[in-house]
Amino acid sequence: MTSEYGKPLPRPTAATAPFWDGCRAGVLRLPWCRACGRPHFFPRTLCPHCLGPELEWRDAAGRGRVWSHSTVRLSFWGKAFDDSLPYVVAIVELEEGVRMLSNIVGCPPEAVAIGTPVTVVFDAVTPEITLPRFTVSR
Amino acid sequence: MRDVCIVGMAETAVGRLEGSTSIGLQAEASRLALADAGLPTAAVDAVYNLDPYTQAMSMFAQSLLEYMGLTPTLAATIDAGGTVTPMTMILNAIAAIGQGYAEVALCTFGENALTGRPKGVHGLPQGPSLGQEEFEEPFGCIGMVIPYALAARRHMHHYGTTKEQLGAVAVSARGHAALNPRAQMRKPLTMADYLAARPIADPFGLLDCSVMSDGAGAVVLTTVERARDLATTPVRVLGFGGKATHKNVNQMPDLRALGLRPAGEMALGRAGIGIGDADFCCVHDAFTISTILGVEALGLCADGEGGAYAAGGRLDLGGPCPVNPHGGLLSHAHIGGMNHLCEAVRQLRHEAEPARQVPDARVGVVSGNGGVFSLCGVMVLARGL
Repeated sequence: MTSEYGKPLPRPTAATAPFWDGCRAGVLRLPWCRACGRPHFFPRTLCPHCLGPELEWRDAAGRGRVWSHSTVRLSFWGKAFDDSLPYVVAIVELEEGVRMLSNIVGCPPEAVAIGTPVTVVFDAVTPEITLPRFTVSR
Repeated sequence: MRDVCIVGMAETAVGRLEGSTSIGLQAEASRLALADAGLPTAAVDAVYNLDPYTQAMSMFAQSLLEYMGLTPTLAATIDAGGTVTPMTMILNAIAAIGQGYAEVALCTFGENALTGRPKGVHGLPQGPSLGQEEFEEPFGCIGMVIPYALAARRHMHHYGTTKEQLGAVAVSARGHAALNPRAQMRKPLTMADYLAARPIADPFGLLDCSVMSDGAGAVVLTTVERARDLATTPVRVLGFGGKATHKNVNQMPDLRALGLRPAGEMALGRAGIGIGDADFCCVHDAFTISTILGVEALGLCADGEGGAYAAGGRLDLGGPCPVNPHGGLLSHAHIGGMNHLCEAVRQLRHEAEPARQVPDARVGVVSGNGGVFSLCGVMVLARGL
């Protein structure tokens, strides 16, 4: 356990650990179904498209577009997010076709719009956990 | 199958009820609803409720029946989410009574969400929520405000919906609440007030969000045959429709693929009516965008025109089909949508205050969802047998 980081942290499970391990190594990975050949996110024990239990991890391009976004101006977790305000929560649609919820960082909130191209960046918030966030693509 | 109807309805006071408990509020609403129906407590043989969102508990139906001294045949805690929870309670009651497993069913929800929630927590916590804690909360997407803001942003992007149009929903709801002595928020609200409210999560400010409330509501159902001997005006369920698509916002489909529309089409089809036959609607308005998407999905206006519909005063009492004549979750109270069902019953019984009674209301449509438009449900209710 880390003592300083007060924001909520993911608790990886057997099904999700490869994703978080990838983030720690600086690689965005997605689970793909061996039966129907489609990716999904979030990671789970089976494919939500066909219930196929045989999954494999593939590196993602790490690029996508903003599907929706909100600039948050209040900490909803005690005071834990006070030092981050305002911050941008976004749903990003990856080039592979799946969507994930994350943050857009490294730009003023006004620079974020639906459709904005974004690229993954990795934020090692603790020694164990690296969060995948996104920045506006150059 | 035996025909079933709603014969009892009651709400407790709502707002800040210091010292209240969730179970005490549910018991009080239940007591009042049974008294309203004119049925003895001992007649209850099915109990459906929901445990408080702010303090999840197991087997809460059993807690309630123990608290009230009830010994029913059936008891279940039903967590469908939002307004779909009381709808699902009512469907269970109809099935149990219709098939002869029960004679009288009690459906209730209430909690002390305002005074009983953990300190330092803003808004309604999701509670244990598979998915959100691992793939949303670490990114600061916590609670319900931000997910709905993400939905609102898409509506604004696609259709040009404006902040002022969102505001028209809040102003309309407050206007209705001002006429409702039971409402939690009755102080008149202007567009300037709305626009000046504290920003929370763009595009939402404080007044885009429903209130936090203590309070409870309950309805009682029995057979049509038994209802003939009771004093209250019975209310029938003409139809229900539902559609689930996801749970958390990170899995939400695009706005046009939400379950609101198929739920409405199914409910109206089952009832054999069109939306034009509805005298009023109660639309789950956890946030201002909810009403806009709700009226579009019900067919009160075209896709993308919900904002203009609200800004044109079409939600208001006196309009073609008043929406949330009690003030809704935005201004009456947020008790999981239970009050949307209670208000529909009240309007259909013609028991609302004259200033906000929809004249000769005979058919009411309740539309809602749990989660972030996750499980959608629509129920059509009608006055009389």
